Amino acid sequence: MNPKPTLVGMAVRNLTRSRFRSGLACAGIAIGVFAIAALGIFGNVLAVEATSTIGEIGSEVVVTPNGEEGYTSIPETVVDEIERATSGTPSAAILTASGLAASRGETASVTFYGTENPGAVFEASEGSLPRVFRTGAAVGSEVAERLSLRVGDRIETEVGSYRIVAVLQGSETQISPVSPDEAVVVPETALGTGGGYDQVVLSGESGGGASEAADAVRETVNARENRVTVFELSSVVEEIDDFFSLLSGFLISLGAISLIVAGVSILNVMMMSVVERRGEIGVMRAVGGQRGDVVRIILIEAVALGVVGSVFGVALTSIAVAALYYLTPVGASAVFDPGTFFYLGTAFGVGVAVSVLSGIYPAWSAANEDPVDAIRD
Amino acid sequence: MTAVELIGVTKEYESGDRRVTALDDINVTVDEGEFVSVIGPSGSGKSTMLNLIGLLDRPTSGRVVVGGVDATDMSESRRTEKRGEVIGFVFQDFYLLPNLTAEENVRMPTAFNKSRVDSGRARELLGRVGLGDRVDHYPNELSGGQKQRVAIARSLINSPEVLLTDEPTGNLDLDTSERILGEISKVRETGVSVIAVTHDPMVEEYADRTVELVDGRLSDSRSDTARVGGEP
Repeated sequence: MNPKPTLVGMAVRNLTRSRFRSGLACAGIAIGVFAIAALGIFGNVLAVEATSTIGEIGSEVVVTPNGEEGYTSIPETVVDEIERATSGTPSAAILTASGLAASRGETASVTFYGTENPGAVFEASEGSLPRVFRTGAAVGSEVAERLSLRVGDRIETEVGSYRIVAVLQGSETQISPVSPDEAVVVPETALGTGGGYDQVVLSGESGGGASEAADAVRETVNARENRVTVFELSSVVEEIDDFFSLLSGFLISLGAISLIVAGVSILNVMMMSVVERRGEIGVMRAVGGQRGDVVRIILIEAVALGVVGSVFGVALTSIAVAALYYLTPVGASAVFDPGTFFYLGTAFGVGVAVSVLSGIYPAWSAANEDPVDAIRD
Repeated sequence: MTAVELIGVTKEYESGDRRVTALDDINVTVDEGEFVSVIGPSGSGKSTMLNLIGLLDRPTSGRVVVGGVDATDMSESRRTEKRGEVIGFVFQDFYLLPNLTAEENVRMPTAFNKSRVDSGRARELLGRVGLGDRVDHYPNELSGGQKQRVAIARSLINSPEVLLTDEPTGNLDLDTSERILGEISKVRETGVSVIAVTHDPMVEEYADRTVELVDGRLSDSRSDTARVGGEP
């Protein structure tokens, strides 16, 4: 026994009546969904890649003497105040100087950093950084490479001769309060003149922690006078995040335009279909079909077009994302970020929603057609 | 028993800034199982009368009683429901859905109600109109006469009390018209009343009686039965 005809069945059969036209409408939606999803994912991948590159600096606060007020260094007492105000946040008071370093007849120009606590700012890739730095030196990866240095070797510098205790991890970013690559980190006594420090770097564990530490320094050290300048690298990250949000919004807007065009095409297809089927819809009404039934049939057709188009759009985007992963150096963490799935899901939902919105007017217009007029003409 | 009653029905339309009276104080009664043909020149109000009986339109004044129920003041939704329950339509242009088979077309009206009409009933109706071997054919595989017979089967699927036909033979040749009228007149055997609006004199031969409309009024020349008249 054949099943009873249903509204869904009739709607789907209607779409297969002019396959080419339905196919074009689906293609429009597929392209729109692809545009929104692909551009959204593209923006997200850029943002994720950028954030992972600059992410580590987000938690650092750099305190420097306030030159505008005539301060050229941060005295020991102020460093103590900073440490008290930010107890719990690792910090390093740093002296900086430029100069030359040599080993085995090779010479390199380097930046000297003098600090007691290099672990707060630098990380070692070879050897280890002592908790209290009194002897030895740590060298940056480029210095180590140029002078062919390894842990245990000696390095001759303008500020003394040191045994290498660690080679520093290379920096992944250009935005940093210190440049580890060309660094030679030495105990602060090597550079110490008793005149104070050039900067204090606070390494918060998170952006929020860094921000609290920065506020604490402003409230205590700068309570009476602006003795120091407090610079949060997280503010740079925020600006970069803002930029990527803007970029994503812009890209998605571009995609949305194509989806709107697709919506208009669905509206057109549905209107043509409704006008062509005027008599049939009139008969449906005559044999007991309510206005709501007619609305449902047309909306089911719109939903079906939207779902099929969106499925193709999501499939196309998935292929593009796979290509992005296999054909470009973009990492899996950026490509398979939750944002990718969010944009795929959102684009699918928006594709279907645009189709339904486009079906509302044709459905309303078909349902409100007087069956007498529809059948007579 | 009375299947259809129009009591003092007047129907007026707005046409531009004019008021046109399509039906003027009409009284018509059709009995159960009766075949009434409605004739008259174009614009005489035949189709308007059919639309009023079919609950597709409302009278400006007067009452419309179908299947023993006064439908004049029913809501749009209730009239649609009632239409599905008690009225079958056969149109000049068949209006079969091209993407449904003959059997599916016959069952199409059941998509709009909760009736449990199975495909056996549709096949039986198609068998009754001589299309038992065409149930799985699509409309484009059927001749005009076959399409009209599918439309007749469709009109009977919900077991209506009244069958309304508008120029049922309008698009058919002579032989096919005879066959179609034969089928239509057969439905009376099950107690269904038939009202056929037509220009075709052949329809009158099959009808129990004929009502003539002229300028929205029942013509005196045809008021030869006590059931029809300009005054109640």
